[in-house]
Amino acid sequence: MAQQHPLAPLSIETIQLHRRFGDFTAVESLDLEVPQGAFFGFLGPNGAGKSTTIKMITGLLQPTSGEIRLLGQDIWKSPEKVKRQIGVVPEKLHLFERLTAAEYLEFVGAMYGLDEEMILQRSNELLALMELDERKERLIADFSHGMKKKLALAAALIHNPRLLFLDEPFEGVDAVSARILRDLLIDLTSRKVTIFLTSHILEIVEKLCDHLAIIHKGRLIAAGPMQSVLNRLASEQPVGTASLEDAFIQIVGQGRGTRQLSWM
Amino acid sequence: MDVITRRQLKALWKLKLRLLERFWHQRDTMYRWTMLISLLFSALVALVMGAGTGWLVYSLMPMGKDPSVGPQMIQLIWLGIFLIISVVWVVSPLLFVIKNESLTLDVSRLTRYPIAYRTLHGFHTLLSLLDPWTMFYYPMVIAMLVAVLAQAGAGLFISMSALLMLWVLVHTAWSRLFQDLITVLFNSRKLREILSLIVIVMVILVAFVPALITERTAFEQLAKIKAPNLELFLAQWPTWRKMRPLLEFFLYATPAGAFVQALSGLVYEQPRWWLEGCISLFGWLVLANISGIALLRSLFSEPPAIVASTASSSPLFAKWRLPGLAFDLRVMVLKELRVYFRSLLGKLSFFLTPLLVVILRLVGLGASGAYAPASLLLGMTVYVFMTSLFLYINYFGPDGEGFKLYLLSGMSERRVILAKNLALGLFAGAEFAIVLVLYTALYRQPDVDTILFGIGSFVALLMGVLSMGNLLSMRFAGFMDLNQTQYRQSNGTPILLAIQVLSMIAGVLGFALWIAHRQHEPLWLVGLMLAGLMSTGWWLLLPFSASLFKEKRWQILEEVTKKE
Repeated sequence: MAQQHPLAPLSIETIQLHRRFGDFTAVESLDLEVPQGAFFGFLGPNGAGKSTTIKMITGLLQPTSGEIRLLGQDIWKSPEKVKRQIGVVPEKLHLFERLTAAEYLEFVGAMYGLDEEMILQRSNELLALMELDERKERLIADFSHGMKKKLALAAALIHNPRLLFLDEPFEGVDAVSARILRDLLIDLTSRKVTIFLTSHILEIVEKLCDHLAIIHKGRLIAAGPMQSVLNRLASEQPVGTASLEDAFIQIVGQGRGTRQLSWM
Repeated sequence: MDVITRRQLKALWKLKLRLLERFWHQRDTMYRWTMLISLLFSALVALVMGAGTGWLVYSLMPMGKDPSVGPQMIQLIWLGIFLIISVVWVVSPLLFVIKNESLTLDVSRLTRYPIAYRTLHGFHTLLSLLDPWTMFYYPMVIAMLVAVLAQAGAGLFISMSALLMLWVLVHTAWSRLFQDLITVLFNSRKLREILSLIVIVMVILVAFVPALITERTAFEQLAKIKAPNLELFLAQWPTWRKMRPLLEFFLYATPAGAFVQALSGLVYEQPRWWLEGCISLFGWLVLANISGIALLRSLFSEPPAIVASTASSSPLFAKWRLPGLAFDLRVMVLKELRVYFRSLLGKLSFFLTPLLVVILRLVGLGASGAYAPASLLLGMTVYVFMTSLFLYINYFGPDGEGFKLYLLSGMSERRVILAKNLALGLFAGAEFAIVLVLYTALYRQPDVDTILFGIGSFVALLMGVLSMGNLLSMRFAGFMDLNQTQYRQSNGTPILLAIQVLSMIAGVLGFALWIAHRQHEPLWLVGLMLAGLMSTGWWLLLPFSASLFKEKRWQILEEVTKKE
């Protein structure tokens, strides 16, 4: 995994990002810095504010206050320009299920302004890589959840983005496909593509990510290179031996002792 | 327009056509024919309405040239007509507002792409020109064009066509704005339900408007008015006197007013009016576009708060208890009742008949003494079931994935049906009690004989409808909702069957009542006999329904969990 220079240019920068829903504060004063080419893991328990943050960063939800810079540009000031350089696989995939896989990629490619020939070439490669080429003429409605996920990832890659947002990309994907995805994502980061990933599978995050941020109740608890975050959080254990799971449970699971069912 | 925007627009257009094509090709032949006939019929109705409107424009046109009437008077009458068309046109998509990917493009799926809201809104609005509810109005517009040209001469073809095109575009844009606004409101479940109920109540009220006008207007007196011209004739009609200032205001403050202004400019050879009307219509178009873009932006980047809401139900539902029932039955009945009262369909089914009873009284129908008290009460009781038939023939549709629980829990089929029947019985019983109170309070004090007959006929109807539901819900298990025009509704067979069965039972009750009246038999006895007969029938059919449920349970599971 590539180690970042401390002064490397930033792919994502949020400054005092804040989002409220009525009386409820979903995200509070979030300052994030993601260097270019980083494989960035964004963790938090359910309801911590992960999806809200991703929505704000990708221009799908207006922040209450704060600033968001993607690749040096404010996404809320020039959304179309910035969106052309990013790819998103949201939690809810929102695909057009009455299209075939090939038609969907054609549509997405055109939305990013690619020409017909390039779309055809890239979509064929992507479908082959995702092992969907044999089903490319079938309706997405007939796909399994994992297949839909792979298609959504293919769609997010078709325009060669410099920044990729993946919300739970491995959920519902079988082991073989997960390996293919992991290899692909690692290959992308070696080409200076920044990946911003959320996942509940901590093992995957630990293996893949070189940078990490943990959010809890809307606040950023820790952020930075993976090993330094782990060391900082699990200070009681010998340096270098703390696991992400231990660190994560220590932060977000405090006060939640082991519970048992009274009738079992 | 840059090359990227051009490619995006081409892709969006292709997407829309593909979705429409899929919608068409994935339906079976019977569905396609039914839809085609329905569309043709609707187009024909629109054509007739358009011809009627054109005829009104046509026939009133010469009066405007009469100095004693003047064009303004005619403008006001035309305005009345076009205002109604305009409102119906803008709000008609409400019938289709439930998302249907194949028929309406869901723009929320497009916001992640680098497309400007302005482009997205413009294109989405233009796509509305292909939406079914917009297409219903094209025959109307063509009929109007032909009618006006027939009177005013073909020389007006270009200017009249331009005006009608603006008229179509203004309505398409406002209709899209209205849909987006509804989508914003519909993000909140409570608002959605309240709004739907208000709309339904409004539709009912509008349906009773002719009856109300008839009731309030003394047409005999109106016919006696002798006036030298239309202006003076209408001046003596109080309703017109009240409406006129409002119409004059609307003439300058609505798209319909602008249209009428431009139309009268054409037919009365006043180019300035035509120009002013067209400019005004264009202004309405621009306004809809600006508001639409702003709304679309806020719709997708600023969704309404949903996180903070914690209160999910009224404490009333949590406190319900049903003493005397076995625990498993009690839990299931309570679950059913909670689902009914928390769903829009359930609320509508429960309140529609009481509402109709009140409205009928307001209109004055049924209070004149022309109807026998027992037959009036019987009619109301039939309505209790008529307005909630959906619930009686679709036991498992609302359960969806929850249906699996019946299969996993090991609860007997008979008990599941019994619980569903008990819940519906309580639901209908509560509604009937309200109707009975309203009947007593608003119509007349019924004697004991009539009340007992009412209760007997209610029980007879309930048992008949439950027996029917116990069979139909197994045979046609798929989820049904109010919007039968949605593509997932394959046909209306169960509803038609249910209406026929209900009509038959009502017919038997009516016939028995007629015989009892003729033979001077006590009505309570007739009610009791019929209730006993139908209850026995229900009881005898129950084991058969249970075995049918057992036989069909996997098929039902497939139907209720089917995703379209």
